[in-house]
Amino acid sequence: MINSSCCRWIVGVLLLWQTDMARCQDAAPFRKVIAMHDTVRPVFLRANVVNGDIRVIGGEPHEMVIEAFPREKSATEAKTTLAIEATASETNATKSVTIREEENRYYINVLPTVSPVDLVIHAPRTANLKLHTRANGGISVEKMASEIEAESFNGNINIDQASDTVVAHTGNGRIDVSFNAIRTDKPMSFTTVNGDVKLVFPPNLKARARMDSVTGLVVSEFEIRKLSKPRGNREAGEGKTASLSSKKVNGQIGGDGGPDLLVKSLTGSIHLQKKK
Amino acid sequence: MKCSQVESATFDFLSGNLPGPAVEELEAHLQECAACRETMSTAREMWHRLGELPESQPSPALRGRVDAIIEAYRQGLAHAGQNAGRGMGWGGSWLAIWRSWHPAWQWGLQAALLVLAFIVGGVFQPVGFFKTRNSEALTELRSQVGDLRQLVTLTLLQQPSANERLEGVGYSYLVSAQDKKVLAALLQALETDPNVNVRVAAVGALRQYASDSTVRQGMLRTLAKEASPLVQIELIDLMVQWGEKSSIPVLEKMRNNEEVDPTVRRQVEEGLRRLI
Repeated sequence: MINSSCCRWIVGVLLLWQTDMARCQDAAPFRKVIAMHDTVRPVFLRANVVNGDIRVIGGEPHEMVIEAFPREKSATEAKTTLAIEATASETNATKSVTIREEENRYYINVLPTVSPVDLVIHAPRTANLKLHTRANGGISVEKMASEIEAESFNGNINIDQASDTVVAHTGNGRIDVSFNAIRTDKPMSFTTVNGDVKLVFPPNLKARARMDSVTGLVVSEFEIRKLSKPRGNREAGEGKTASLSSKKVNGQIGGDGGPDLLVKSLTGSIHLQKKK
Repeated sequence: MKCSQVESATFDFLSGNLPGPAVEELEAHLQECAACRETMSTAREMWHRLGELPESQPSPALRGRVDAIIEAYRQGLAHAGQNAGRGMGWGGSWLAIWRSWHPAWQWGLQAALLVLAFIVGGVFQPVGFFKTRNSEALTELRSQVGDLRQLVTLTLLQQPSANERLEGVGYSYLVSAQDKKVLAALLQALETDPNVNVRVAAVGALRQYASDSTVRQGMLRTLAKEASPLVQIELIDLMVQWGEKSSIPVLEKMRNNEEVDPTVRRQVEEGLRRLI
């Protein structure tokens, strides 16, 4: 009962604030600056855009700037289908941005709009990210030194100058990720159904790689020592017949050790490149 | 009462948590201020609609996972309790003193004892009785390490971060292939994890349970309902490698389903040719 009341209170405050905010800002692009009240504990940022892009740029630890831009002018009159249709059914695109904070965890949502709304966040460089886009948009991340989880339904995923660990998946899109450095103790995984994957790592990369494309190619600038069996294949009953036709590479890059690296595409090619 | 105070007190008022005198002040203000009356009316409607939302219930899958973790934790405690029981008396008091020490001193003493153990071990070779004791201690140590790995795997597999769940899948390779709890957690991840990368990784980890019929059944169950072509391909490949004839009806259904990705259907064709 208490929890139910509490949830209603939080959601209610957010929706009320959102209405007031929209009243003031009308057709202008949404912009909010948040002073980070706790720069000691890790920051967690979860952003979800139903119709549009997400772009995150690594910045200073003491503030976060959140902006939302309607992609077309007509979006100002877009009809919003709020998950909870409590306050409005007709509103402009920027009204659909909601922000919630709990214990240094920030939840930013752009609810469904008729025309795309692109979200741009200048976040502290060390904020851990969990990003999700659904339609008409992909994900791009620059200069972040934190864990990144990116999932897009139909868009490209571009991550530049990453220096921690990345888990990325897109249904129909490319994945391009370049690393300045990687965590040696955290696994990474990159999967796309229809799209190429290009990963650029520092030349001293060490990893246990498993890469697989059904109709594309697997091309690596790194030397890969092939392992005779997949990891964990410790039962004699396994492997009665050969694997189905696909380009599979299962091996060790750069001597023993390093994180697990899983890369998979159905129809695209996989490129592993050395950072110049 | 001012308008700003009304705004901040709105949801306490609606939830019945506003003290009596404040309620009177708020109601008096509402009598006079049309804007606040309108805001309150909107908030009240929203409050009632939020109250009509059904409360979400934890799924049976979540309950299974929580039970497994609690059970693993209980076993760990029981094990620790037995060991503490053996160390009562002198051992108990020494343990209390040891725990009160600063960690730096604890580490220092441990390092010194380790060096001493090497020297003593080099001078006096263990024989007879001592050999047996060493063997028992080693077995117990192995068992404790196994329990710890199991606990870590189960805990990581239910974390909100996909990266940590991937780490959990990686840890599962260190757990005994006979471990039913880890097997159940991996199957759970395969069937219900929201992240495609984790599901693909789970298929890889489940290879080591090839002879277990529950794994094969679980994989078939997943294949019949899985929407991601990447996971479908992994499962089909494994079914064919294992020569799993019981997968034929599911594969035939997929071959005839036009909603299945064309590349996947080609793999299904090839798989069926090998299995039939």
